Amino acid sequence: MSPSVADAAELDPLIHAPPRLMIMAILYGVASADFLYLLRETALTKGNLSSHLAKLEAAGYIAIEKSFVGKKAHTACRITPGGTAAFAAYRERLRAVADGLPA
Amino acid sequence: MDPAAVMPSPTDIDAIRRRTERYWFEDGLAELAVGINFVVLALLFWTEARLPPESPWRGLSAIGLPIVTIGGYFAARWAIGRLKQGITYPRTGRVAYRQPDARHQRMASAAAALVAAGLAFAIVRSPGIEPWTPALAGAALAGLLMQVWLRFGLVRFAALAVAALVVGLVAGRWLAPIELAMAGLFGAVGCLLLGTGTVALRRYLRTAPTPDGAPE
Repeated sequence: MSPSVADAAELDPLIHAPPRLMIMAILYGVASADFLYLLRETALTKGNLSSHLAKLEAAGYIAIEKSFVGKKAHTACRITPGGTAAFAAYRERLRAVADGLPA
Repeated sequence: MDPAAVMPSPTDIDAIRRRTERYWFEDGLAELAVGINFVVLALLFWTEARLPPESPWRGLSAIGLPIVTIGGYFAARWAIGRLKQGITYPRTGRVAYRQPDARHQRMASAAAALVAAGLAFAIVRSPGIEPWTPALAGAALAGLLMQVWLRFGLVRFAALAVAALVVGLVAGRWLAPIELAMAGLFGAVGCLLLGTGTVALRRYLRTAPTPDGAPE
């Protein structure tokens, strides 16, 4: 196995799934984003998005805060320090893998 | 299987992050708020240009400029927040952006104050510079607009930057007294911002569904 493919095998599988990667990429650069924004950006169904968010929350990568704005429920998600570190490491490894691939 | 076919690239991730940062400008509300502020500044300069030389209100812009600038900044922040709460967040969701730390903010404010003080000092010391003030102000506005273009990749801000530069030069060359030239600069850039903001808001309202899902 070439070094870049071996590196690819070590990519964090929790982040590597495309929907979760999108969620993490969005949350990495901002203080928080709400459920509606993530729903629009990822184009997932509500149930699917909830399931991916729950996985990331269970891993300690994101924190979910539920509140009420007026009479409507509001869900805000933010990346945790652990999630920030994991995502930074993922990007680093991904860059190494991408650099090792043939053009 | 080709690993490149299943692998997201770092560029994809950067594109997602950039789009999230750009979201702030998607509804055009920030441009509308800044545009209104610029039009108010233009009215202030225009009023001063129309005053007779013996009027006790001469120098209005010297007092009014910081009041309108600082007051306008806070008013715009408040208005953008309220409007986004009512228009944007129910339609396409809310993103809270990280605020620059206090040290960063202090340094930016100090740099802005230094540039303003340097310009004022240069005008007082060498009156020959005064006719260049609109051109310099236009260049400063162009610099700020260019920064938005480079950071967020919004092409309309590059066009606005070029326009600010050109309007500054033209106003400084063709409009006198200087208050009228400044009114021309801020009025024109303000109107352009109102124009681009309106177009962005209309496009946003057309593409984003209303909260209950019914078309706008």
